[in-house]
Amino acid sequence: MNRDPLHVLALLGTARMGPPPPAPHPALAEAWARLDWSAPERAALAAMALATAARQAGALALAAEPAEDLAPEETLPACAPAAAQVLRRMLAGERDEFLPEWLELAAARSQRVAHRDLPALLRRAASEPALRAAISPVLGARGVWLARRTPGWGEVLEGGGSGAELTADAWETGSPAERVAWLRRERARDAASAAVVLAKAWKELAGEERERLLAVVAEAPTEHDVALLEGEALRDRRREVRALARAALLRRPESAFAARARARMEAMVGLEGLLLGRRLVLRPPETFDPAWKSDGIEEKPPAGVGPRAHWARQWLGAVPLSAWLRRFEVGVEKLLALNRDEEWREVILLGWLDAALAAPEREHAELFALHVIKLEKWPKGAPAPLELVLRLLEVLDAEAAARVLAAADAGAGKPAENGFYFELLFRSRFELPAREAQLALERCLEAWQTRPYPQLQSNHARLLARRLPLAAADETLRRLAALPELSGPAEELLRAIEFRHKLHLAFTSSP
Amino acid sequence: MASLPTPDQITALAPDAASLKAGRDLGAPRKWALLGGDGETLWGLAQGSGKEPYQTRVALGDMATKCSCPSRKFPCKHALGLMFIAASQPDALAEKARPAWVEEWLAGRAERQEKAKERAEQKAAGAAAPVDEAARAKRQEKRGARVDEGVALLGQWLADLARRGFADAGLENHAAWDDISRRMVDAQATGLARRLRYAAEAARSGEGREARLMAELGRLHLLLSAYARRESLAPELRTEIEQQVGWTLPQEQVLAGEGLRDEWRVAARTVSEDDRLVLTETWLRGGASGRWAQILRASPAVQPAVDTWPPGKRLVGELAFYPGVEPVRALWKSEPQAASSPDTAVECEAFSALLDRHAAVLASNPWRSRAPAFVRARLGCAARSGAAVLVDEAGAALPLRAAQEKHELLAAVTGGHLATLCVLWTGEALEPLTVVDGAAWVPLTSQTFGR
Repeated sequence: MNRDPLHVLALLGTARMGPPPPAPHPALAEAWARLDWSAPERAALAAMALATAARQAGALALAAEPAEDLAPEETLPACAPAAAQVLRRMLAGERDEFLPEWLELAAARSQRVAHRDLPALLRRAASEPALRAAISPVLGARGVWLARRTPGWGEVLEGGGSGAELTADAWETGSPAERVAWLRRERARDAASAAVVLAKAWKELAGEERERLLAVVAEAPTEHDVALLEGEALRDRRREVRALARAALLRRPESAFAARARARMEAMVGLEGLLLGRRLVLRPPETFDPAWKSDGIEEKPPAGVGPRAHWARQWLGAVPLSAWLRRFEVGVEKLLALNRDEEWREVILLGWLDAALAAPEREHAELFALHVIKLEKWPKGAPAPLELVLRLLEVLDAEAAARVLAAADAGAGKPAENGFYFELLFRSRFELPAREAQLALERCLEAWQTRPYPQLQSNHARLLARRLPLAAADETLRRLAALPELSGPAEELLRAIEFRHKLHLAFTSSP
Repeated sequence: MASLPTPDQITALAPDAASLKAGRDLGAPRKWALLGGDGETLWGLAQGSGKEPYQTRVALGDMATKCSCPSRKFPCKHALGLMFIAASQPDALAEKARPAWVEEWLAGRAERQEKAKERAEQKAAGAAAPVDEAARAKRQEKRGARVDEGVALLGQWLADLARRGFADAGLENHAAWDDISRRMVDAQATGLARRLRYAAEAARSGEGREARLMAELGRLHLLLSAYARRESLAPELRTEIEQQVGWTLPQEQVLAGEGLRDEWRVAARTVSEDDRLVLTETWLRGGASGRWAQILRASPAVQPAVDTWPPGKRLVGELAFYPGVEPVRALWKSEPQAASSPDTAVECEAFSALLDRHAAVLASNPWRSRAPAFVRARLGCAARSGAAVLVDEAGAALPLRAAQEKHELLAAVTGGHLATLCVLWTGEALEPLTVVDGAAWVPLTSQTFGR
């Protein structure tokens, strides 16, 4: 590269100067000739000034590539300015727990985000995959255009409900996340062929990927998956994969594994005694049958657990509650009441808890949840009560879930303990019916105002504000405003409700 | 009757993000023991942590506020909350009779304004008065001597640097600049100190830094040479050079000059923090005169106050320009009022016209480094290099200098189509400041300190 002589002079200094540099441009020749190089430092600095002014004054426009890739016309109307303002505040970090609600409201009205808010929203969705499905209906043509052409934002579109962006070879060449997305979509489209593809690839997959893909299968296993589940998955080297396979097979009663588990349960458990003495009794296996290994049954118990109890628990945990009901021809409550044998009660209960956690059955979930909430003693080594009950609530409708929640409130002092109600309230997701919402508000206010529950903080207030039905907002605000003094969390609740109220008003009251 | 503030305006008034949030929270009537307002004033009693409620007052004309709370922020959250109520629920301002504490404040304000006006008039008149002349000349002379010393010192320093060459001087280190910058500040040549800082930034600026450093040091040398022979220059040029070196002109002297009345469009506003100061730079363009004006406002970061008018706003008022060559820096002669005439599209400049205009300014003022403009342009790529450019309607392209986020925002708002923008031409690249999105003006620069 030929360096500009003036440039070289500036870098090396006039102390090391050769002949004076020539004028960089003919237009400067006259002025350049007047530089007095007998004082070389001053002349060099003046030359720099001259060259700079000349270059800036002589700047020329460039040629540009023709315009292409223009954003298409919008087909959706933009949301109202008031709604855009609320969104902008949330994207700046203020009360962004209501972001999903905003997106839902806009989508329901077939409105799109204002153009200026697209970058912040896309940036957010790029780092928060859970938002992607919710933003895709409100992006508008501009948002899709922008996401496609900006590195890192394209994948935001892939999370959209349509999944149209996933190409056919996503399975062959895609990233692990894309393969998971592809499998989920393909299973919905054609479960049989998806099962074939997965089974074919199974041997080549790394352990972690086997686990991720089998988790997709376990969400809703079909008859096409049974072969893989009963075969390689149940014998997998990876413990998590084996557990997923067992959980999936719990939902496929026609599988040979399910039949074996049922047979094992029926062989081990019987009814003994008469009238009030009737109870379930367990005869756990005396020895470990090596054939069980291929069913994913572990031989070695964890420390502190007897091997026979361990084997029994694993088999019982592979049998859904419904199979017990058929076997003993009783209802849920009766069955649960029959488990009162001093020696084996706990092992049977552990089996039920394991099965419920792996694959809760909607029709029995409420009664089972009510039962475990009232348990005097939570068995050692069982899944955590909160985790289990939350899992059961997932499969229940709002009314039934609300009844469980109410029971958790009444059951204070049980294994559930004091904070159990609040934990359930804040971590479950079902929509609170009006009566239950009222109760939740009472309980929280009581805890905040008079009997501070140490774990109940302002973030809980924000969660509660999300759960309360909006119809009750006015009433709630009135009640809060009437209180003589508000604790921190109560104040937070009030502000969060006010914000949510404003958010809805921005959509409903704008012209 | 003054108009009620809009949420945008209130947002612009907030000194920082925390105050804005607290202000919004206070924008609920239930937090107030009393709320009132009339055509000119808003007032309210806010229940704070103290025993007595705070007395909050807002004058709608100039958005001046007064509150009895101990906050050092200005305006405080109570004043902001009161404005938010006025903006969203004016019916809540039920009380119509001004309480005594409001009347007192208004009376005091009127009195102070009157006095300030008198003082300004006296000062303006006094600047020419012979009584002060001797003392003033003496002060000027003393200061002049110190500046002269600084100029000589810097001239020597520059010559040294030119002799040794930039390559060996370690200019990318702060240490190379610290001493000389400090001595310029001591010599009261703040303009020179500022230019040294630009040069130091250029020396650390990565790719192409040598050319930028040459440009900065060349301009600095030119300024020193011109200053040395300022006595022989035209008065306007002399004033320009003196201000560039760091002589400050008293505001009242600027205000005493001739004003230019116009309908001024707020084209752009940038709020930044520099050395514990919050700086607001507002660019205005006269609708009738076509003149560009720059309003600078500085306030201490502990008590920040920023210019209140958001981009896109039109203001009617009279500006007094700082004297100099092709002056742009100005002061309001009186508080401007929002324009009531119907809004019209801004007049845009072709790139060729912008380049010509800037070249003409450089010919008479080679220290001017930036030219503001309204342009109608789209995002594009340069033909050979593929570098980011803006392309005007005639197809001419100029390099675009915009951080990633700004570029994304521009793309989102324009969709690659032509749009109206306010830009700064630096002689090398266009820096976008504002983009017009239908009726909304979207700022591309920071609008609030600390956000």
